[in-house]
Amino acid sequence: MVAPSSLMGIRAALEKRLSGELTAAALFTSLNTRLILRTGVNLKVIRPEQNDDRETVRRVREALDAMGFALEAS
Amino acid sequence: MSFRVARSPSPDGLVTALGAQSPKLVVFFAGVAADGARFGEALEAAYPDARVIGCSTNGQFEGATPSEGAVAAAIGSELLADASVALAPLTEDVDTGVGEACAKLAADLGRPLRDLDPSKHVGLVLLEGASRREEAIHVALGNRAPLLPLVGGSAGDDIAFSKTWVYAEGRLEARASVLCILKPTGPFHVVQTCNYAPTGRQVRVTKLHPDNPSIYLELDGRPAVEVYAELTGKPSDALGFVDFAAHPLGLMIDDVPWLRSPVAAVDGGGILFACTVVEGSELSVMASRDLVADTEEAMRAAEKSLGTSVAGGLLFNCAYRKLEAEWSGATAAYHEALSRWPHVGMHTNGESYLGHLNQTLTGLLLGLP
Repeated sequence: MVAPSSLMGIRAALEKRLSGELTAAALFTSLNTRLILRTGVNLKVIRPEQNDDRETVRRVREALDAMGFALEAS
Repeated sequence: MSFRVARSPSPDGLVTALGAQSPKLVVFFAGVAADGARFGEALEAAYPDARVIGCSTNGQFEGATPSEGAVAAAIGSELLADASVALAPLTEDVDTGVGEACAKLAADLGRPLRDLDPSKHVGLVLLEGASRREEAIHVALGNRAPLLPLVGGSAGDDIAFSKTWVYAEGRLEARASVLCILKPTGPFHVVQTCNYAPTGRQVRVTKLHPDNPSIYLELDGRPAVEVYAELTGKPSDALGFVDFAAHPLGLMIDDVPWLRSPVAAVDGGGILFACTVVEGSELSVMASRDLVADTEEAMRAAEKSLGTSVAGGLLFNCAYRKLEAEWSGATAAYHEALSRWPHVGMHTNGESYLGHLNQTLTGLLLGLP
């Protein structure tokens, strides 16, 4: 499994993972809120300097892994 | 009965006021000096088939006036298909205690919490309120139920942050939180509202205390008290609690403020806040709006979002909002604004919705199926 290496990649992978759910948008919002509170990163509004920052991407992937969302690049 | 509320200074009086019924869940709130164990035991004895949960407060309310005694809501099976409850001990690492409680809940529900349908289940939390560990608790909960709406508040103790209590599983505990998973029969709505709006000015939290992320040492590269002196127009050594309470910062998420409340200046020019943030976060400087008018509007909007008549609500009101109402002589009007439907509520040491919040009213509204 190849993990996404950018925040845009993480967002795409997460959206794909949730896409089968009827309330995908609401679920993404809940998860994104938790992510913002934990990491300071908002996947809906990705700051350009954050997108490819390795430490930021690592931190977000770590938080998502901890919440049970180990993602692969889509 | 579907959502019955009552108040009384005594356990027997509370049971009498709630009356004969078979609720699924009883939620009670009482002052920190009250004998929470006696209240809990009386309710358990009166309603043996119900789950009984409760916690200490900075004040509690039901109807259009605050209550000196305890308040309780008994919620029937017309509104709740299921209610599961577990106590989470506040262990050194937080995660272990939350993990134990989540495992108990999962065993009761027959599946992991992460597999629960978030459109049909909602978590209700009464958190230990004296140790400032709410953020760690929410991380632990998020790891096990990342998509579940989780709402509630931190137990209170007359705003001393010394010792709170919670009640569940037939016992009173000081260093523990209550986790409750509800399956309403009808629609439900999470309330999250505050009477502050962004001013357009933002500050970046450029330095947190290395050992305590609740202490914001620098904003925009300058000592935090210096920035607050500028915001308030007062010298930094003259800043007091009232000044801080009037100037929370907002972490804006989808245009909704997640308020972070300053509490006091600390040595070195930093400010202790009641919530942490991630270093580097940009926060909005907030300005207050009329507490009563804003609350009335929020309650109307909540009712509209629910889409059906509100049977009742459980409300968690920040103690800062209680103080704000008192300072402006608006306590009666504020409780009137909350009283569109039956409700019980408490003034908290912090609020919860997916994470830890300040200066906010959170709550759970249950709609008629």
